[in-house]
Amino acid sequence: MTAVGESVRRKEAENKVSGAAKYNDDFTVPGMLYATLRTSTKAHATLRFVDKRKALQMPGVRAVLLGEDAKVLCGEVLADRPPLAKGRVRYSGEPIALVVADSEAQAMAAAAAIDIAYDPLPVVNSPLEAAKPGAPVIHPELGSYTKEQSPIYPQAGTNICDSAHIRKGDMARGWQEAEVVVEGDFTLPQIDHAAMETRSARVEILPDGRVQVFSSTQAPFEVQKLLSKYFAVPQGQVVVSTPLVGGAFGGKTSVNLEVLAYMASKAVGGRLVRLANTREQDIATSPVGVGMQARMKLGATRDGRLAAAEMAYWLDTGAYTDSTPRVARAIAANCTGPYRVPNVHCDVNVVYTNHVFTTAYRGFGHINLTFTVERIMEKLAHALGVDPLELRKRNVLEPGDTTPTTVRLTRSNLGDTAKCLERTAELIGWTPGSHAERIGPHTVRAHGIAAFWKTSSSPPDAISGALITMNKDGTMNLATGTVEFGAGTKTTAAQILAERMGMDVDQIHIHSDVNTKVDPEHWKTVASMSTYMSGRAVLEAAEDVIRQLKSVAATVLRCPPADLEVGGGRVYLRDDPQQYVAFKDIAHGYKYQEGDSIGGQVMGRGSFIMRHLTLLDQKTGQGRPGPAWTVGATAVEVDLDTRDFTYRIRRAATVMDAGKVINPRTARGVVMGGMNMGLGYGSRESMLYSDQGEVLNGQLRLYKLMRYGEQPEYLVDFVETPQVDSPYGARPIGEHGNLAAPAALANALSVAAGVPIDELPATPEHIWRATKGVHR
Amino acid sequence: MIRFDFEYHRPETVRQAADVFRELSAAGKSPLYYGGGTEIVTSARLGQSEPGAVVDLKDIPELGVLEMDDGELTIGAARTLADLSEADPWPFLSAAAGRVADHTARCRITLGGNIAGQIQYREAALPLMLAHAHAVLAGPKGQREVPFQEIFDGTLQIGEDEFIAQLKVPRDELDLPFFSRKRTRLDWVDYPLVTVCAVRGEDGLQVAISGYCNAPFHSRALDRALAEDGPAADRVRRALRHVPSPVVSDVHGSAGYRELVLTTTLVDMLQELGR
Repeated sequence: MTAVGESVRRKEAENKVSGAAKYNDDFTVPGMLYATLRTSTKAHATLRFVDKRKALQMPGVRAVLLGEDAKVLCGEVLADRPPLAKGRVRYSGEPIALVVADSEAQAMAAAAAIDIAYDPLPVVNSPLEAAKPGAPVIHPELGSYTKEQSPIYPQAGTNICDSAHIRKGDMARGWQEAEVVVEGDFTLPQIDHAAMETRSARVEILPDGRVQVFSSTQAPFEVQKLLSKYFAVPQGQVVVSTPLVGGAFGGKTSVNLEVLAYMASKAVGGRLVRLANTREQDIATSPVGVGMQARMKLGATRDGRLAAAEMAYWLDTGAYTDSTPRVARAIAANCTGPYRVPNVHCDVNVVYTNHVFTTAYRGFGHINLTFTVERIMEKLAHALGVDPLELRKRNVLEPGDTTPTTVRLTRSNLGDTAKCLERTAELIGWTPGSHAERIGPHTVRAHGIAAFWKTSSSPPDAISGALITMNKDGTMNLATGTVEFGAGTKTTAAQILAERMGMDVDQIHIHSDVNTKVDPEHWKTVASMSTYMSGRAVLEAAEDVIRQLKSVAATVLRCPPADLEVGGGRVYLRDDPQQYVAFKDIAHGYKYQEGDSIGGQVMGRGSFIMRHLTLLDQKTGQGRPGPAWTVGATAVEVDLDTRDFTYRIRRAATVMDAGKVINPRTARGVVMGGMNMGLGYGSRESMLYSDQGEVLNGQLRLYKLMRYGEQPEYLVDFVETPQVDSPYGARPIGEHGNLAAPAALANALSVAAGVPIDELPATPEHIWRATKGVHR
Repeated sequence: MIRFDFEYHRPETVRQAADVFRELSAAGKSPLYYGGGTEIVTSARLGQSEPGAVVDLKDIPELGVLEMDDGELTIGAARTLADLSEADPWPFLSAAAGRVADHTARCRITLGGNIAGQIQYREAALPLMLAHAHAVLAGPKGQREVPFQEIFDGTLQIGEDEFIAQLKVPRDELDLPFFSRKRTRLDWVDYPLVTVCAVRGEDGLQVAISGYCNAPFHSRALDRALAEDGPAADRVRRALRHVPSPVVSDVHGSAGYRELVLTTTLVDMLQELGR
C-alpha cells in the first residue's frame, strides 16, 4: 500500500468540478447586512472634508464610518495603515468610507452619495523617484509608527520605510579578481494576484462577546491574532472560519477586509455584516504584488567564475508596508540566485509610493531577484562569449558553499541545480551558444533559460499542527490548519498520513475548511511550506495514533507493543501478520466478548515548530532564513516577428528538484500553473498608473491575463534529491514554477530581438521601443 | 451589481418598441434600446451610465431573421455575433465579428448593438462599411431603408429614438475576396491596436480600419493610394497620409507602435489581396 508518489485525486475535486463546492461569499444568511467601501479617486491628497450626512439619510442605511471612527493603525510589520483614510489618501482606490445597509445596492448608492473634497498633493510614481532626497514625503509620521514585528528599520522624514542588507566577503578583493564586469538596470511593475475568487469577509459579534469571522484568507490564525490585538478582544473570543479559497497567490495573506467588516459589525450592534470586493476593488483597493527598480553589477574572471556582485533594489511597496519588509529580506537572503559569489554587497530598500499597497505575491520577491540575476548572467555570458547554460552550470552553488547570509549548504538543504539545468536544456532542445534561428521571412526562433532557488523566509517560530481522530470503522479524520486554495495541501497531508499508516487515502477524511477554534494552528498557508510543516505535524500525530493503537492491540494480542506493526487497517504481529486486530475493533476501544472494554477513541496529535532559523543581521544579513532551498530551471522557446515584434511563446519547460514528488499529477499542475503566471507577468501583466497615480487598468477587460488557449506547450520534469528532514524527502514546489519564467522569457526575447529586455512586461511594443533605444 | 433600479421592457413588435421608447422618453426615463446588453450592463455596474429604462429588442421577429433571397442577405440586428459566425452567411462578416470580445460575450453581443455601441471599435461594422449594404431603421415614424454608409461614418448617425432593425447586403458581394485581421497589444482577446478589413470588388480595393483612430473609418483617398503603382511599403506609407483623424495613444499601445502595426498589416493585406 503506497500513497506517496501516487497521482491521488484531490479530495475536493468532485465538489469543485460539479459546482457544489462553496466559497466564502457563497454563504448568505437572512438578516445579514451589507457593507461597501467608498474609495479614493486621487492617489495623493489631503481630505478637505468627507460629508456623510446625505448618505446617512438614504434608504436602508445603518451606519457610515469614516477614518476618525477607527483608532487603530494596521500592518503586520509596521503599523502604518489606517483601515479608512484619515485626513490624507495615499493611493487611488484607498478606502475612505464604509457604509452598512440592508442591501448591497442601498449600501452602494449611499457610498456614492458621500461628498468628498480633495486637496491634491504631489504624486510619487516610482520607487527611485520616491527615494530621492526632496521627494514629497508620503508618511510624515513614519518616525512615530509602532514596529509590530522585528526587523523593520524606517527612515523618518523619507519614503524609505525599511531596508535589508547583505555584506559578504571582501568587495575590494572581488572587484580586483573580476576581469569582466557587466551592469544593468531592471524594472518590474506591480502585479495583481487576480485570483478567481475576489476577497471577502463577514463578521458577527455575538452578545457573549465572541467575534465570528468568515474570511477568504490564507491566514485565518493571523486574522484571529490581529483582530484580537487591534480591538482588544481576547484571542479565544475571535473565531475565524475559512472554507475552500478560490486562488490566493499571496494576496490573501494581508488582513484588511476582516478589520473593516469587524468595524462595520460593531457599528450596527454586532449584527452579521458582509464585505466583499468587486473585481475592480480587488485590483485597486486590496493589495497587489510588489514592483521594483534594481541595479546590479556582476564581475567574473575571464574563465567565467563569479567574483563579485553588487546590487541595489528599490521595492515599490505602494502606499503602505504590509509584508513587503519581509519580501525585502527574502530578496536580500537569496540575492545571488543559486550561484556561488564569494563577495556580495546588496541593499534592498522598501520605498513608499502613491501606488496600491503591496503584500506577498507567489514567489515572495524571488521573481524579482531571479529576473535581476538571470538577466545579468545573460549579459555576462554575452560579454565572456560563453554559452549561457555553460556559464550557469559552472557557477551553481554546491554542498559546502555558503549562501549570501552564510548558511552552509548541504545536499539535503540545497538539491541539485546543475542536474535541473541540464534536464531543462534537454527538454527545450537547447543548442549551445544561444542564437536566434531564422525560421521564416520575418520570423526568428530563440530559447532562453534561467535558474532559480527559493527558501521559506518564514518567521523562526512558525508553527503547524495536526489532529487525528479515529472513526469507529477504523478510518481517520485529519484536521490541519492549512487553507485549501487549490494547491492540494489537504490531500497531500492525507497522502502523508495514509503512507505512514499503510492505509488507502480514501480512508483518510480531511477537514477541508479551517476553523481557528477547533483546528490546530498552521502559521499561514504561504511560502510553499505546507507539505514540510504540516507534513511533519501529521507524521508526529500518526506516531501518536500508532502508539495508542499498539498499546491497545498489545493487550488484545497479549504481546509487547514493540512486536507490533500497523498497515492495511490492522495492527499485526511483525513475525506473524496472521495474528492481528483490525483498526475498526480498537478505534473506539476494544470490547471483550463479555462486554467489558478497554481503550477509548484513538486521537493523535502532532505539533511542529521551525528549527534553527534566525533573523537576518541588519548590517551583514547573516542568518538562516529557511530550512532548505528548492532549486530548478525554466526555459522558454519563442517565435518573434522581426517586423512588429509580436511573438508567440511556443514551449516552456521547468525542471525542479522536488526531493520526492508526493503527487505527480498535482505537482505537474502546480508547476504548469506557476509557469503560466510567470509568463503572464513576463509578457503582459502590470498595474498601470497615470502621471497622477490613478490605476489605468483596474478591470479585467484592461488588466490582461493569459487566456486558456494562449498558453504554450508546458513541459515539466522533476529531479529527486531528498530533503532529509522533510516528510518522505519532499521539497516545497508550490510557488516555484513562476520564479524564473519571466527571466527565461526575457532572455529568449533578448536573443530573438537582439536587444536587452530588462523591463517587464515584454509586450511587443516594449521590444520595439528597446530596438529603437527608446525608453518608456 | 447594478446599484440603481431601472425599468425593463420587452416589446414584441417594432411598433410597440417605438411606442414604449417614446413614452419612456417623454416620462424623462432616458431609455436605451437594448440588444445583448453587454455594454449597458457593464457600464451600469461601474456607475458610468444610469438609464432609467431599457427596451429589449430581442423578441421582435424582424430583428431575429437571417435569410437569403435571390437578391440579398437580410440579417436581423438582434442576431448575436456568435450566431452569425456559426451560420456564416457572409464569411467577411464572420471574420470581423468573430474577433470582437470573447466567445462568451459574442454569445450576447448583437450585430446592431456592436454597431450602435459606445465602445469605439465597432468591428462588426467594418465589412458593412465596404459593401453596398442597406439598413432598415425603425422608430416612432415607422420604418425606413437607407444605405448603410449614409448612417454610419464610424459612429451611428440615426435619431435617438430610432434603432436598426435589419441589415441587407447584396448577394453578389457575399463571396468577394476579403482580408480581415485584428492586431492587439499581445492577447488574442483584447481591444484592437488596429483591425483592418479589406475587400476587392467592382469598386476596386477598399479598406476599413478600426482601433487606429477614435472611430472606425473608410477613406477613398487611402484606398486610391494603396492602389497606385510602386512597392507595397511605399504605397502603404503614402496611404497613411490619408488617415482622417489623430492616431490613438492609450494603455493598449502608443500611436507610434500602432502606425508600425498598421503598416505591416496593410503590407500583408496587399500581398494577400493584390491591388
